[in-house]
Amino acid sequence: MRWVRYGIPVVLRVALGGVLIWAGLAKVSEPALFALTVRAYNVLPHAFINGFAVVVPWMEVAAGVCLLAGFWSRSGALAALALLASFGIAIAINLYRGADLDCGCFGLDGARGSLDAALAQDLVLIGCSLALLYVRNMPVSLDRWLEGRAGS
Amino acid sequence: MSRVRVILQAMIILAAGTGAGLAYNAMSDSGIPLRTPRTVTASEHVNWSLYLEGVRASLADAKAAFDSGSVVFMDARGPRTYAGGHIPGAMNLTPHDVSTDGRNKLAGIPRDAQIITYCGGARCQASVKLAHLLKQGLGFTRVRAFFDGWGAWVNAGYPVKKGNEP
Repeated sequence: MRWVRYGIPVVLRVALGGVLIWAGLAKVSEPALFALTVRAYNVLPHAFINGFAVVVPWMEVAAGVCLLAGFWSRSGALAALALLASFGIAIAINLYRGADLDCGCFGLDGARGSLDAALAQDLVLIGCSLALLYVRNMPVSLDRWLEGRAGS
Repeated sequence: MSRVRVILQAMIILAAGTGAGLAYNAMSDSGIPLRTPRTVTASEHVNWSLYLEGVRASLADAKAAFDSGSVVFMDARGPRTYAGGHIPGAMNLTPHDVSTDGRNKLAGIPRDAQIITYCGGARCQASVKLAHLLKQGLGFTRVRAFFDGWGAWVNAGYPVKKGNEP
């Protein structure tokens, strides 16, 4: 079952990387508005809200680029996992509170569904990143190409 | 060993993202203070609503539109303030004009022209009111409001023009 060993990791990697880059870029250009979204979640200490809004979308992009390129694939998956876990916690807390919020995950227009849908999406992505953490020899990746060059 | 390396590299990736975010925030027109200000300003709230309605022009949007030269700027402030300094090329049209003969100023402008309205900034509503009148009342389809307005434009050091002429 070659295609399972080769295909699935690549598909997962490209999908997760693509989603992270998309989600990151959607928020990058409007930090003031993303900060309002973060504020609405009401989980971070007040002073950190702006810093979080400035930095986190770019973290998503960075992890996404690593995954897409297959550069430091496992580390990219771990970084993605850390981000997704923190989002998941923030969403879960607000679901528990019964807060009336837009996810603000893929842009700030509030057009993309409810918090429970967002949590479900987040869990699927967490699953992807967990699976990718265990792929030691990632096919079709910069990692493998670099290793090949170092070896030869 | 490899586990430690994976964790370290993951931290490097996140640090790279942090660096990129800080750099972008420092260079971008839409950058924000890293320490959160005590309260949300009225300006942020209005910008947020305009953004949700898809009619917001940020400072960066306004500058890009200005540079492209294909967007009509409408200065919603009174004629005297307008003469004291405005965005070069902007026509002077107050919300009051729209309900009077001043409306004639709009004669040559096609309904699908790109329009950006502005007034003084966070303490005025004329830009939003004018945008609303143009859109709802007169059927202009591509209107945006540059709510941060004149104040933000001048602060950024962008070109200005004095006098009654656009």
